[in-house]
Amino acid sequence: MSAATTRLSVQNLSKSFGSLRVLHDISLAADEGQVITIIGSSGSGKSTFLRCLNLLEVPDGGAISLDGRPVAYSSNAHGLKVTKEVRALRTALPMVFQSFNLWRHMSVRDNVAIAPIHVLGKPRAEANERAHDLLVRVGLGERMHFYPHQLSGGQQQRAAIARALAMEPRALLFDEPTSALDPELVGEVLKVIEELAAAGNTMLMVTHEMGFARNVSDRVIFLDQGRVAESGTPEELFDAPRTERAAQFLASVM
Amino acid sequence: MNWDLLLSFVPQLVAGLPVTLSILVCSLAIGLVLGALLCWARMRRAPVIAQAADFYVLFFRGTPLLVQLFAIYYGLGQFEVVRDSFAWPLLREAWFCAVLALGLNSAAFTSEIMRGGIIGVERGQIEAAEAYGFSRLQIARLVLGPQAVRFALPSYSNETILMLKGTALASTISIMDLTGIARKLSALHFAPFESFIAAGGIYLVLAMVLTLSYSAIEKRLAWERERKTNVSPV
Repeated sequence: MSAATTRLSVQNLSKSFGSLRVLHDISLAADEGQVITIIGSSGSGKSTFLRCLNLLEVPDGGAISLDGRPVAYSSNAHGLKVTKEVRALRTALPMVFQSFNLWRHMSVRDNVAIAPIHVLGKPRAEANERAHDLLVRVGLGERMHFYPHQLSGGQQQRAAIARALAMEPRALLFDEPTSALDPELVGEVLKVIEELAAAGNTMLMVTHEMGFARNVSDRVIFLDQGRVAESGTPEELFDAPRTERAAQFLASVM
Repeated sequence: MNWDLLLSFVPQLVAGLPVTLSILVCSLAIGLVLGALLCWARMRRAPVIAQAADFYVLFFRGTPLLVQLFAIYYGLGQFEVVRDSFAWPLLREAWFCAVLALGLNSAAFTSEIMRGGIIGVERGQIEAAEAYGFSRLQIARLVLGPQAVRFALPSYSNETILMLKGTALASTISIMDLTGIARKLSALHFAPFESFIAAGGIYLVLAMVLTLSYSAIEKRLAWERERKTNVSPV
């Protein structure tokens, strides 16, 4: 990792909801191939932070750079101005949602192929073929003509991961990908994510699965009340937390 | 009741179907286009336009269709500006006035139905489309539209049938639609029961055809319902 280049970086990102400041000057850099896990108690701002990265939430201030190029964004009374630049950022950083959010009126295959066809401008046949390959990769090759509601939560989340991969992403964003799953389905989704990490994908993930975070992460960031309270390798953070808050949090969840 | 007489009325009443159906189709078309504009104006909450649209819906939902029809057909001609305008050749026509009144009325209800369909779409569905780089137009066309149509269809099916029955009011302004012909036959043969029962039967058949068509479309769009039918993957 010594010669790694920075894939995604954030400088002094802050965000308020009304008078409530939820993120305070957060800075972070994800190198190519790095897996960064963001942990923290609920309300610490970790999901909001992740959602600021692809501008689903509009930060009040702060710079986002992808591959070294800053991304310009601005908002008006109707919210964020969805420019070409913003859309390009989003396609480069597809998100896997806690509640999957597969489009329920399309087959799983169409869910995976539609954005490549309409947003990336890929030929339909090529996009469909690639969708099939990706669904095979996440173990859903046989189910590609199913609708989302016909699949279990774990299968839906794996399909959602295939949908993200179809964007040929620069980095993947995971927003608590297993929190909405029945306990026995968590493993199959974590296995897929683990494979993606091993395959060298750059990933940023918010999760409550501490054992998993420890195994796959290159770096763990502990957010507390909208601030980076501590960050380090999984060993540093999990085995020897330097801050009282991190120690308390880890004691309460492990 | 004289069944022979009733049956002899049927072909004469059927001759009025083109008038009834043309009023229905044209007014529904106006309702869809204007309803979509009203829905857009109300949901965007642009100042002035949104309030105007709110008032429009309030007005047309809150007053009887018959009153609206009379106001247009009998009322507008009293103004010289209208009589002198380019629209007068149209506004003088009873058929056009009926289409206009029903269309304007339907637009108010249709805009509400559309709004209900759009509100029914889960936030997460839109958010996913945003997160995958869809433009506003693509979200409307590929995600919001198809799902909203699915949610709005049962109410819209209802609206279509209400409008079908609403076309009968056209007979009050001298139009020879199904009901207009029934009134004529009733007076001619002193057989109100036979003529109106025959007309009612034809309306019933039309309503049934509409209901069946809509439920066929609903079934095609019902992605949730497929679980029960156990579709097997190809």
